[in-house]
Formats: sequence, structure tokens, C-alpha cells
Amino acid sequence: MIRKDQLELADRFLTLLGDRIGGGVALEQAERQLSVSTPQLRQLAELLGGWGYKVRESGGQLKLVEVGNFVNDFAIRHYLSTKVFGQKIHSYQSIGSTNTTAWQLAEERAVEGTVVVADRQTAGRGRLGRSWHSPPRVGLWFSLVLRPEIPPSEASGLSLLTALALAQSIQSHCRMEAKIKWPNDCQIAGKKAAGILTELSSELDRVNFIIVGVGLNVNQTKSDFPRPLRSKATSLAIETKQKWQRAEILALFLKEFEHFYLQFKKSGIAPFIQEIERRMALLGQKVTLAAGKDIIAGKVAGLAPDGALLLETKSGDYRAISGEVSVL
Amino acid sequence: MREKVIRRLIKIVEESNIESLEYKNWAGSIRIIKKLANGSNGAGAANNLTTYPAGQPGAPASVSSPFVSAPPAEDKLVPIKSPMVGTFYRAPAPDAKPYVEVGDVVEPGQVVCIIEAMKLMNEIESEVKGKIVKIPAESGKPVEFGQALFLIEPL
Repeated sequence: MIRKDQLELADRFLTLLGDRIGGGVALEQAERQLSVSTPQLRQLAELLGGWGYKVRESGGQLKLVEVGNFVNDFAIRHYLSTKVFGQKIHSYQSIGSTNTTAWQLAEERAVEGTVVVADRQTAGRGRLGRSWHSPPRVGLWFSLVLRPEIPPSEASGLSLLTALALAQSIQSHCRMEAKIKWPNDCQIAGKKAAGILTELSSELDRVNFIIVGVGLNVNQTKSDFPRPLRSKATSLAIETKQKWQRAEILALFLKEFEHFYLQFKKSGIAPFIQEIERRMALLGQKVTLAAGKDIIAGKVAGLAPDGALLLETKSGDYRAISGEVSVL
Repeated sequence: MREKVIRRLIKIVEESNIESLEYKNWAGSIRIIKKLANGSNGAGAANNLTTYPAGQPGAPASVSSPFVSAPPAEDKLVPIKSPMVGTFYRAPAPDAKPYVEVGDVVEPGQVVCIIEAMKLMNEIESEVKGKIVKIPAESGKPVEFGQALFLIEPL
């Protein structure tokens, strides 16, 4: 078990090293700033090594020569600046589905903001039992436990809110326009970059807990996707032609989402509708909506204040609370 | 379709001169046909009314009760209601088996269906132990807040 003060020291050490490959600091300076001896500093370097950060020492200089792209507790915390979200992190190298584990933890009273993250999912789930392709080390697969005191009828707004937070954090961090395909897919350049699966445990009048599951394609190359998905799916790396630190993206998303979530708990989804509409893919386009057994054709007119999709159809306006939208 | 609606429709047919009525709403459709005894549409027509889902020519020509298989002692049944507006799914995936069927005995905490709204999936659990007597909601169709999804005979 690593002590908390050691974690903090290692974290500060990483910051001193400049947090990137090629970054460095003088041995003496590091010792002075962290108030540690040379052997203690070597221990910290060893600790960092275990989390994927390789430090090399030569001629009184310390250099960061390798930055592992891990999404473990340490790496996430290094970037995290939230109050509630991610204060408790369960990270796994491999897991069936982060949503399933988060659900179990929530049933065992996991606190609000608990994050379950995995380098690899062996049974990643999408909507209605569809599987989600989640290969190791390239994507960001995580789930968040929420416990809002709201009626179940208002919980569906969280589905949209997650998509908004995700699109905003992708756009501000990667400088790449991210759109929302109603209700909660995240698209870049018309292709799916992220999917969200929100699961609710409720009574008739109150929410027990909500699990927000996110699968974000970060560092996949084209060949990482199965052939049938290549025309429909994309990753941040494919679109920006560079690799990204997954832990940093997760931390930024948690920050953005926490900020939105605090307002959502007070005033619901309505204040966000305009912003979501602004980011909406397919606005004004002719689409079909497959909702359960019904298929409706119409033009996307926008969103209702509760987040329902509004379609203009031949027989009048249609309000969709669920369904899959496809372009005609 | 709610029983209240069906009752009202039957009353309309009963009290009018029309011979049949077809009615459709989001929950489904129903056809009510009045059988005219000797050409007269006299009182006590209730037993001569047949209801069956529209578009099913093979439906029985007559049933003794105006209601389709009215379960015994309906007032003792406990409903599982929808906590939100959404789409009702009886199975976890389109090609999977339904969570429960009529006649199944469910335990408290057992998942009986999913309600979906904007990709938020709400697994609905039974709060009581009992036998599923009726499933008034149709899978893949929208349901309203508070709508009865299942009727359960407590055990």
C-alpha cells in the first residue's frame, strides 16, 4: 500500500518534470522543492515508473523519457480539479463492463461521483444489449455514479447533459468541433466518437442512483476498428492526427460535467437546451426516427424544454422521447 | 389500452345506433361489434358485444363477458407503474426473451421490464412477490407516467 503523502510527492515530482516526454528538472532542485533525499527521490521515480512514467537520471539531471498512457488512479488525479466527481476512483486493467461494476458498487452505497474506469472492457455494453467495441489502452471507458435528489421523470435530462459535457470538453481540449446526435451520441466530422449509456435505479417517485457510462474513442487508428464500423466510427486521434492523454481527457470531462451537474440539480435540463441545440447534428435535416415499433419520418425542428426531440412530420409536430435517428 | 377507455367505448356503442366501432390510440387498437338480435338493438346488449383487437379476423365471434379475459378479482391486483414517460421494453434486447410472461411468479426486486427515455434505461423491479396476471402495456410502445405496466396477484 502506497502512503498518501508519497502519492502527493510523486504527483508534485511529475509536475516538476514538466509532465511530458523530454521534460526535466535538476536533481538538486527536485530534492530541494520536494524536501526529500536522493534515495527518497529515486523511490519516487520508481513509483512513477510503475504508473508508466519513466524517469532517467544523467549528470545531475532528471528527464521524463516515457509517459505511459494509463488511466489509473494516479494519472487521473494528476489532472483532476473537481470537488465531487472522481474523488473516488476504481481503475481496472480489464473489466467486463464499467457500468456493471459501477452498478454493483452503487448498490453497495458507493458515493456520488465515484468513477469506474478500465483500460479494456471485455463485455462493453451499448443500448438494448448491443455490444460496444472497446479494445485495450486506446479508448476511454468509464462510468460515473450519481445520486441526484430528483424524480425519475427528470433523470433522462442527464443523458443529454453528459453528451453536452463530453462535446464541450472534446472541443475545448482537442480544438475540434464535436456535435451531439440526439439524444447522446458524440460525433466528430459526422462519425461517432463516443457513446453514452445511462442506467437508472429508481422508485416510483425517487432516484436511487444513476450510472452514466461513457465510451470515448481516443487513440484508435482506423485499423483498430472492425471493418464494418470504419465508415461510421472515428477517434480523436484519427480526426486530429495526434495521440491524447486519456487520463487528462477524463479529468477535463469530469470537471466540465460536474460544473453542469450542479446547475442541473437546481434547475433541470431546460437551461442547457439552447446550447445542446446549437451543437446538434442533423438540425433541419430530414430523418427517420425508429422508436420501439414505430417509425416516424420528419424534419428535425429542435428540442423541447425537457430535451425531447421535435420533428415536423406530414401529420403535424411529433415529440420523441426515445428512439434512434437516421438520416433519410 | 386502459380498461376505462374500453368500458367507455362499449358504452358508446351500446347507447347508440351504430353496429361497430373501431378505435385506435397510442396503446393499440380495438374493434367493438354489436350483434343485433332479430334486427333490434334492445337493452341488455352488453352480452351481445364482442371486443377484440382490430385487424384480427380470427378473433372469437363472441365471448360471454364484454371484456377480453377479465382476470379474477381485479381489485386485489397490484399494478407495477411506470415511474416516467418513455418506451416500454419487455426484454433486455430486441432478440432476447422477455423478462417475465403472464403466469410467471416474480420476487421483490426482480427486474420485469425496461423503460427508456433519451437512452436512459430504467430497469423496473417488482416491489411485491406475486403472479403476473396481465401485461397491459405493449413492448416497444410509449408509456405514460404512472401507467400500469403489469398487474400482479400478490402471493
